[in-house]
Amino acid sequence: MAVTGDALAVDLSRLAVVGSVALPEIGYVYARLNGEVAGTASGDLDAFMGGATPKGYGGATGSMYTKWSGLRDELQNVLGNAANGLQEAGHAVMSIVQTYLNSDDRAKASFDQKWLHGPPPDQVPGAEDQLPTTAPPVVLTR
Amino acid sequence: MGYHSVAELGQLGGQIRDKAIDVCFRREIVETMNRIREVAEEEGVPPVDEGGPVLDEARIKWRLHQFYDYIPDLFTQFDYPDPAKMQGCIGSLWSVAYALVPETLGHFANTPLKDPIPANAWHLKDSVSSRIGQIEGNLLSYWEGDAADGFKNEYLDRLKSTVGPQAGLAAVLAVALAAHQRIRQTTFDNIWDVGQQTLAALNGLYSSNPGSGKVVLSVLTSAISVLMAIPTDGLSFAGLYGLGMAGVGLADAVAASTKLISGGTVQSVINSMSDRIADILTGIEQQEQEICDFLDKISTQLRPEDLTVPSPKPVTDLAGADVNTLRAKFSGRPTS
Repeated sequence: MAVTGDALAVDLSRLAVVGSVALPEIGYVYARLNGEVAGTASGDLDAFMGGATPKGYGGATGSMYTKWSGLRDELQNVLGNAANGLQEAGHAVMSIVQTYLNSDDRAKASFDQKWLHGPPPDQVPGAEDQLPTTAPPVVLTR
Repeated sequence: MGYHSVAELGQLGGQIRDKAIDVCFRREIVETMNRIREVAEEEGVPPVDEGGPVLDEARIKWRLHQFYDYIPDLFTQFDYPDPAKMQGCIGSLWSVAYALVPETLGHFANTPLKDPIPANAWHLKDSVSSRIGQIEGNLLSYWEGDAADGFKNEYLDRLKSTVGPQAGLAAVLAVALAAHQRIRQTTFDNIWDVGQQTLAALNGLYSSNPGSGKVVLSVLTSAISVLMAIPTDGLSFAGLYGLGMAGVGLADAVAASTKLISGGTVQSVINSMSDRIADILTGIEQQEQEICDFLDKISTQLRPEDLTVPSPKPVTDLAGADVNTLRAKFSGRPTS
């Protein structure tokens, strides 16, 4: 027998924190780090141009640039895809919460009371950091 | 010491050229005249008594310029941007490693790279791993079923396991760029030193007892010295290279990097200078190759599954599902 009513509202409240706070906050972290790595591309010319083996052309410097930027792009994409995945997961979790609430009026009333002023602070992980739940745009290289 | 613009490098090369010409004219005029005649003969220029040009001061200096006008180009070929401009990117990559795994700093505490994390780096009070742990251990603890288990085991657990390798890769990229930066910094130091020692050696030719100058070509070990500073523990695969490099014999390489600029004539001093510049170019190539080898080694150790965050499919497949499907796959705690 599945849990219902007030007990379900307690579980859904925790799940809603996952979907609307915890996952988006981690997604924000990844999106911000993705942007940090993407920003390093603007320094490529200063780092690799000049001399006899300019950026990307011949010689060990050109070869080093190709390898280094390849790994840099990989890290950038990994972080960006993680950010996108976390946002998607958050939306999916909230969809699950909403479906359960729509099926149980008592649980919905109890849940709405708990969330009257937003996510219950005692359930929000990492509240000290006060991260946004809306992530900056992700930058992918391919 | 430090960065030198192409104008400064060209100016240094120009000073050496002018000094070489002056010494040739003032101290080695006999040898210079012989050399000019040899070149003129090769070029088919007739001697003075057969109607050729008179070797007056202007013509001698014109010839000497032909001999030495290439010297500034030897210096301006090192026309690189200021290596300090790389610091922002290096700092960004360290910041990423630090934000993902705050303990990153501790790994470098006893190495020449100690405290590479920028002062303004983003420091999360709750790390990514800690946040994921809170989701799994508390917020999701009452949810069960295939999809709930898949979300925890196939998504969140794997997400947590990728954090360390991602931080490691960010650190590797920072170290590689720092090694490249060191190559550029030492290149500027070394080419400037070669120029100054060449000027000193040429000045010495004015006296009857020319000396010689030592240059330490630190570029020859520049990247290795940075790469070897990577700690061999703590960072998932970043330590591999440090272990592999242990037998290289850095001390021998450092000792071999001390070279002379010397010679009893202008031409021998200039030849000596050219050899040292060739050493610098070779050193740059070899050290950049060391970074390539380092990155190759990292690439071969890097498995996509170590880095790539899995798809959140276990929960996204349930978006829009009806409540009966949810109860079967992603359900709250059962009543006792």
